[in-house]
Amino acid sequence: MKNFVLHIIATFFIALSSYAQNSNLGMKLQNAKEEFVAGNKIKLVFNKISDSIPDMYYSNSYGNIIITPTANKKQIVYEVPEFMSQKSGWNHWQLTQKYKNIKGDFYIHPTQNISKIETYLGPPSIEVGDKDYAMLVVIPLDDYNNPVAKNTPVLIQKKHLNTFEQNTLPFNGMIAHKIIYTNRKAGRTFISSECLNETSKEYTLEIVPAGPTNFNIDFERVHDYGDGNQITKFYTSIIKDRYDNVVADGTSVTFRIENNKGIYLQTFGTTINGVATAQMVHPDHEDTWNIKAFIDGFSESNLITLTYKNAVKNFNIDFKNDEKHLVVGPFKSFMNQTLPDGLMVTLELFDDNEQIQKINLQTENGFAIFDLHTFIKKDKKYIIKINAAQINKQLEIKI
Amino acid sequence: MTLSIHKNILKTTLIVIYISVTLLVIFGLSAVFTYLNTGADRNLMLHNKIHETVHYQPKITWDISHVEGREITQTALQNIEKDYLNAWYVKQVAFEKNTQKGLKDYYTKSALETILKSIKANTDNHISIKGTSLDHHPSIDFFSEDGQLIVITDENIKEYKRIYKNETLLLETTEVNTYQFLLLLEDGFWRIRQILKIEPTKKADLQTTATSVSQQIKGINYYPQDSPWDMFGNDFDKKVINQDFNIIQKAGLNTIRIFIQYEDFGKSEVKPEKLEKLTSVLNLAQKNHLKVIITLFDFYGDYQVLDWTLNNQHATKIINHCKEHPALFAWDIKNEPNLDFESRGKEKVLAWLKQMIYRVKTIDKKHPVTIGWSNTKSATNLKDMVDFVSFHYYENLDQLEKAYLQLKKEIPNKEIVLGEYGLSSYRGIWNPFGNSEENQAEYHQKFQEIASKNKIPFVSWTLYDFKKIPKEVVGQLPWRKYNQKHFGFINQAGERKASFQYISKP
Repeated sequence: MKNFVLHIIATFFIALSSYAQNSNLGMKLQNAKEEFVAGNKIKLVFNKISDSIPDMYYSNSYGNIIITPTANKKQIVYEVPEFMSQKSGWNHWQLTQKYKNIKGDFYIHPTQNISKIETYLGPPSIEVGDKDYAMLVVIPLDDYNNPVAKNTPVLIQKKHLNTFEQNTLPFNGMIAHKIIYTNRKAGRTFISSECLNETSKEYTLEIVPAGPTNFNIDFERVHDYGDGNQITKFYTSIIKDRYDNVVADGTSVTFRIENNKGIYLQTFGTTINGVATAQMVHPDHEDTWNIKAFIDGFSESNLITLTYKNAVKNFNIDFKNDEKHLVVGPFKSFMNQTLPDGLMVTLELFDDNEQIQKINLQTENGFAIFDLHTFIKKDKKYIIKINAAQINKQLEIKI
Repeated sequence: MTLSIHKNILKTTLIVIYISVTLLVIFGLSAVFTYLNTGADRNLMLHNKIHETVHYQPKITWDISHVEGREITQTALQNIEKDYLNAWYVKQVAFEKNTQKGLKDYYTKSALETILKSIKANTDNHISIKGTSLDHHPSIDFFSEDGQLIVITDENIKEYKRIYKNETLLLETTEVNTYQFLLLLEDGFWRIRQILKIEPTKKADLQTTATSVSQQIKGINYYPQDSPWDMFGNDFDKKVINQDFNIIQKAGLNTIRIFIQYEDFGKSEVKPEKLEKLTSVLNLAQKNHLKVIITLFDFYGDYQVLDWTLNNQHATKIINHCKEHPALFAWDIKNEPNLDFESRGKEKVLAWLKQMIYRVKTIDKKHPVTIGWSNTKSATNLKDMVDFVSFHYYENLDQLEKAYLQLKKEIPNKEIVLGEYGLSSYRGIWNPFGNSEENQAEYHQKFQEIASKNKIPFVSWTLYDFKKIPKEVVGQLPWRKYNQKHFGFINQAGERKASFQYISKP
């Protein structure tokens, strides 16, 4: 009898102490489970011990909510809403009010099905050589936009010209990443990734040629006379980078021409298939050109020298007293043919050593005709200076 | 004659009415005109408001020692931190106010989905969650080579949440969570793309170690006579303070209690010049062999959960600045916070105090912490968290001994300090039957007898009679102001009152 009493007392104390420890007031989760898969219906079922039914505080990676349960005679059921049970990661729940010591956690795994593979490749173009690289980041997402489980293998495929490469990377829980190194051959690299039989889109990485190296220039002209009419064409050799890749189309080349007087002329060209061409009209007089081409900041060409012979050797001036017209010409070119239109003729009119007029005219049909009647008065002496094709002539007139 | 006077009065009135009506019309028209001329602020288009002001400053310690990929620069890290914390901030606001405001700037569309649905559910259920995050320990795991993508693991974030349903408190919890984040740099914002809670939620450990009180406190609450409640303002004068400290020390006291006004010190951006002045005060105290109790958060009364990170920043800066100073004796978290119980809600104030005690004690493990309760009734609140209990007593002295012994019984294992007591010697228009200086002297004599009999550590109120009292202290009512002016041991003219002889002993 005594033993029995002791036993009861002991049981009572054990019960009491465990009660104090858990202080769960007798309410207990009936279907404890530690793991779920995203999209699973999650219901937390408790035994009902009294009429007081607490709400449940529930939190996951993204947010916090309060779940109001449904209850029948025996059970209280907390149903986790879909938008919460679809997200992977640890989930935490805790009953409220006097039941606040009852709480727990479980893990929601991502599904084993890929809905989309997010791929980030950057930068989009890199330079040929040994140093430059781009980075590929792959994030395979499950049905509910969760990143797939840790260590899911991600296959990366890469094709550059004729080389093909395959790598398998482990997914680290958030991303899988790989450094894509450049190549000595310029061109386009194709990259794709694959995870759990779902494939990504095709991604391209442009491997652009490195900086251009020095190059040569040459010229082409129809004749070597400075007639102010024909065009001399300059062109470069095929410009390449140090790995022998032709530079990108559209690389700008500046041709710099220095003439006899030390004046610089410039003309530009952009490359197509490595060759840039540029043009310059012939000088209208005897001249020597030193030509050099540059790609700003990268490289330069050799120096070439061109000479132009005089096309116009001489011309006449005739002042027509009646019309007060000054006729300059005929201008004859290198074969004594009439010089093509457009040679610049400059007339300067002096009255007592004071310049009163300066007129520029282009030749037409071998002549330049200056109408001077508005400038010239009767019984006065004038000096006229004419300059064309670097030939100077002078004439004194009086009406 | 009278008729002409009447006429003149009538004329003047008419003119005055005419002028005032004209003025009113002009004023009205100009107000309308001004209103029509002000359009929407163009600035608003950029919604950069959130970037400009500091809303959220939890303690954050970055670990960038194991970054895979691109090396991270300080500038990049600053930008990431700013956007990352703003992301936390807008989310806290969203869950508190059930709004979507600002979320779009810091979360990508797919990351927003669950957040928005949670908010919708909470709106429907009339749930509001006031939360904040206090400690962040993010480490950067990965930074992509093009600088557009980053993976962060933020370990052991301490998250405090208070959940209300229909405005009644449902649950208060402090959790410790570990998350992994994927952020993308999109049109200038670092936006959160993925969040993954990677460890089960842990309960926050708010345990702190107790610090013992090392000396028998005989002290006084101190403000300079000319700048009460504005000790660190423009009138700050080291010479005056030095003289006062000398008086205090010569009077046989060993401790002073001073106050730091929250806004005056610059809130979360504590002003360096204020800290300098604080150091000067501590130096002078040291010189005069006085220990200092620093009361934080004076004139602060918000306690809002979203303010916590800013409050913590404020406390952290001040404590780190002073904690090694030999003159420092203790931290008084807040003066008379129980007075805010009614207006702000008791649980709100206590939650704030709890976390603040924890914060202060984690920053400074050496100096004891207390709260200056305004009466004995409140003094038992948080008695287990403070290192010594302090309370203020302005009631009848006859009841003091009983009240003190009762408190001793309730809190047997902690020192109990009387942090404020005193009697105003104001007798005048606003209180013709007030106490005289003799009454005040008697009061202090009697108090000293009780204190020495019961070994009550004391900090009296206050050294000086003040000439002006700011309205924040006792309000605008003149009888309160006048009363508050005459608590000193030294009168407005600088002469010692009769009570001075009982400043430290019976």
